[in-house]
Amino acid sequence: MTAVPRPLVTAAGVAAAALLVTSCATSATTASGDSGADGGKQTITFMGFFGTFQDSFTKTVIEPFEKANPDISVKYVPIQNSAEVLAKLRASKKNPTADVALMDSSVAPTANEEGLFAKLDSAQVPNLSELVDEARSKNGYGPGVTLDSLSILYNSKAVDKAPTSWNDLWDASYRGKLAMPIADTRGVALIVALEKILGKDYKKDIDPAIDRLKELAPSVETWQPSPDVYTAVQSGEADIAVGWNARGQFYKDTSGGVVQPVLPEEGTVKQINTINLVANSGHADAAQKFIDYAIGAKAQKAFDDDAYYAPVNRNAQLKSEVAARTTASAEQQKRQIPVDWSWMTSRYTAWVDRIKREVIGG
Amino acid sequence: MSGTATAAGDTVPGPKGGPRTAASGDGARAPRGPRPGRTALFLLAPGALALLFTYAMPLVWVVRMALNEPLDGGAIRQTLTFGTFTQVLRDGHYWKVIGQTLQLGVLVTVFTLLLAYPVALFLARTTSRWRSLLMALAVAPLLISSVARTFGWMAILGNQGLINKTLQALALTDGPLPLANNMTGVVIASVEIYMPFAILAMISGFGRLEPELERAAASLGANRLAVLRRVVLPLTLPGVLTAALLVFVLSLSGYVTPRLIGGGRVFVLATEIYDEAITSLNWPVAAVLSVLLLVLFGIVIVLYQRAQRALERRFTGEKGASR
Amino acid sequence: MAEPTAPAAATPAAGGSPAGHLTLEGLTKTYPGQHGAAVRGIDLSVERGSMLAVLGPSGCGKSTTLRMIAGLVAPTAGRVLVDGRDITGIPVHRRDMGMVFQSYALFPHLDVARNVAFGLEMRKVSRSERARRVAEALDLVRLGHLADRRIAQLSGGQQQRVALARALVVRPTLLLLDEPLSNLDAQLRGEMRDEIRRIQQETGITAVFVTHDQHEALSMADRVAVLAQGRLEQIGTPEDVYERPAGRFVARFVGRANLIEGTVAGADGPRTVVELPGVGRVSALGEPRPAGARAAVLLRPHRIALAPATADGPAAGVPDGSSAAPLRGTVLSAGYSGESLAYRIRVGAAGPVLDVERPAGPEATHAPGTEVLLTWDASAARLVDAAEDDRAGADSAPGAADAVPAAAAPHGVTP
Repeated sequence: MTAVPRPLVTAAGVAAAALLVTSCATSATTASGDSGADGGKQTITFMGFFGTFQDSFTKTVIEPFEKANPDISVKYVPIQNSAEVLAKLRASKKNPTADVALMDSSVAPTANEEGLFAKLDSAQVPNLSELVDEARSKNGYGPGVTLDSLSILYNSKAVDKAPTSWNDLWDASYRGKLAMPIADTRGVALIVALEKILGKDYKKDIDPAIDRLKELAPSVETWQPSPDVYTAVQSGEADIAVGWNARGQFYKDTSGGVVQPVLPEEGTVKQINTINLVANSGHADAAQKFIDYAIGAKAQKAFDDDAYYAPVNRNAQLKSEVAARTTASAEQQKRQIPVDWSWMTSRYTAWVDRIKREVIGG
Repeated sequence: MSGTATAAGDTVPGPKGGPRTAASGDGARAPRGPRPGRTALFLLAPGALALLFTYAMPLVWVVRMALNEPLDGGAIRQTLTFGTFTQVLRDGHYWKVIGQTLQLGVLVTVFTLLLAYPVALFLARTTSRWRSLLMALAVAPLLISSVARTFGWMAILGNQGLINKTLQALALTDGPLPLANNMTGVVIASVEIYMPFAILAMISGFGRLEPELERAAASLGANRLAVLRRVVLPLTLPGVLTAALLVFVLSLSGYVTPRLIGGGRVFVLATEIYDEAITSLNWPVAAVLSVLLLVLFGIVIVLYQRAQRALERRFTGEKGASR
Repeated sequence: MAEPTAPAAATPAAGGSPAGHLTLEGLTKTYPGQHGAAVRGIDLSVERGSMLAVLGPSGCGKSTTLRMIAGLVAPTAGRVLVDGRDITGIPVHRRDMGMVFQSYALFPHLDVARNVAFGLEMRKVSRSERARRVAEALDLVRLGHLADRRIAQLSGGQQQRVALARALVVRPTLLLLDEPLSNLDAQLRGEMRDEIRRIQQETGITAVFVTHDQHEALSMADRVAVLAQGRLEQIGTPEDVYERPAGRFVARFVGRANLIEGTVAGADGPRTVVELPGVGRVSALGEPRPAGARAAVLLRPHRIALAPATADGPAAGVPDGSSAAPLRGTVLSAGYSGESLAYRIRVGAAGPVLDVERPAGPEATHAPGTEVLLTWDASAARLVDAAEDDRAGADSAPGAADAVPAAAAPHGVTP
């Protein structure tokens, strides 16, 4: 027989489709937060980002916290992105799979709205009073815990004249060598920065920024460098790019200075990850104790010195060489481009769609 | 009376089982495989249950999600509406995505078939004692994940890749050729990735190809080209068709290669579903696109079956084999 | 008493006659890595309009020979000539030969008419002419009513006819058939045998067919070429090959044979007298050999007549098996097969065991254990090579019931 049996083909087709579909729907892991009632020891589950973030956060925040609170241990569940956190919490609303979770500040309002996160008890989280303004929550939900910012990245071996301004992206000498992964939060942040430079208001009209980006499109080599923008700059596949500063600084160290992140002279836009108490957590007290510790001056200094984020705690004094490489430095502080991420929540998708359709040309 | 007895009785001898007389009118009945008896159903049950949980239920979940209404910021309103479908179907962007998905599928399928056919034909016909080794070599790429192979292609096709470095070193080109970060790169990498599948599918479908038929054609005056065109090609068409279906379906649903080597410029359904679900948090739209992809599969498979049945009729001469 | 009516046994043909339509000259095929040649220097010639059967056991090189004629296999040495023109280097698709394959090799994706039309299309024959000739060819094989059938819908015999029509429709120089009947059941085989012969004679085409079946070869062909081990053993009319085998192999392969080993005792006119242990002296026809040479006498089972033994001893005279001097024997077994009776009979007390076949019916059956007298026509005994010359592989020949002399002391009719 030459033909593959018909039912087999049908099954294969359906299987292929279903596989694809299921890959988008993340599976919920079993409920954690196992009762730590026995012996007074409790385990709280923390959903944080994977990779070097996890290494750094475990070393500088979780381990000292556990030492200071011997009755609490923290289980780290690595996640890829905020969407995954949202998916997992949606799937386990009644009996959540985590007690504390990180989430991008543009996504967090949705989770708050859906009742996936609970408001914090300021009495239990005294460090809330030490937060810088942009890290504060307006309505009592989880505060910011990391402050990152958008940077220009360049390959120091390939680029003679280091870029210093956002406008340098349009420099003709970089034509065809740009990696611009902007069909996500990076693009949204870039639009905010461009609107500021162009003297416009992103809350009113983003056409000027979109038009400016359209001019850039012919120079772009890739809108989606693989595996990520930092490796692409390091390998020389791209000479100039935009990326997150913290990760860029990490690559600057590991690449021996080949990857160079630049905080442009016009200032930059911050990206905030919030730390949240999951609604219906069985360990709300321990969870808030952990949140309080994470936003405290000691943890913030330890984590940011290691991972190049700017502190959310006013009292955290970073090492000066680290501060100079983040938005914590005095001069960068002056140049901040303010952004209202919770306002952005309802515009985010539309902006990303405009970038995809009008700038990239999907 | 018992299911197993019926099954045994229904067995039809294979095409070589013996001469079938035309006069008996046998020709009008399609030979069918044994009907599944009760034992067979019993044996199928565990697999069917597993399928129910791993495929059917997520599928139901996806269809249900497609009927919800997306709200700003990734929120979802639980409802029953075709509003998301109409929103998607009225949006030119998604039609462009569907078009590009089909375009990629067609390009990849055509080039894969063109490249795989000679290899499959050689492997099916060779009497070399190295045949097994050559077969193994042809499908060996399957041992390496398509992610790794796509990265390999980026190392070859990229601006700093092997080809562009060589061309520039030889001063044959001024700037790098745009081989990666676009449709070209996705097509090249996909073709290589799907070739082993195509070769396997083709060889398994080349059963009607017999060397004696080629000799017969030659003895009747056919030169090599005529033998290929008039005998080998028609006889191998069922295998080619199966390979085409396989490659087309695989490339319609392919995510890794368009994502990694497409440079963000190649918008296909698989990457769009991911972006809607993960970046835009728009689950209802992601679900609608998944359903559309499934519908596309359905159409492709129906077309394949029609074509395969028509081909089969060419060999058996049976008309209206449908029941 | 009858003297042979045909000339002395044909010797293996030496060189093709210039009048031959098809001529093979020293045709040889050696396969790399294979010991010995598959075909070793075949010379033969086929007359225009005649049918040659190439007969031999499997592996004798007959199919390879046919494929070399067709151009499907390139000879290692030698030439193929058609009408005196050397075509050895011409590729198969330009040889203009109609070939019928053992498997028929019909195109499953084309209907009967398109199968038949294939060669015409390759020859760029116009559409109308094509239709006419296809219809003609299908009529010739009596399949006109099945023109639009698929191959899968045909019986084996019908497929055979399509294959024949497809090969003939192009009016080829030669018709080549490779074991054309081997895939058919017994009844159909007989029918197709006559059919092929009829079509060949009607069209007057020169044909070569390969077979391992002696009945097919003898009944269909004008001439038969017997191959063994890649060598041409004999070529001649069916009668030549059967009645006057050139050698021991042919004698055993074509038809059933009793071969009795002995020593040449002398000549008797055109005949040779052979001393057969356990039997006595027998005179046989054949190429004369010097006295004292080893030789064997061929006796076809159906040429031996049986009569009930009388109490009297054998009459005196030259024991040549003639009725005047019958041999005495004992029936060991008698097998009834409807049309005939197959006996195994021991000659004398410890002589060789002979196969004897008698028509069933008119004669009384000789029960095992009874004594019988054996006689044969003088022309029935043929002189062939002794066993030493026997070539390996001949043992596989069907129907070769070798008569082995008993080891016991030879006595009986020894003078």
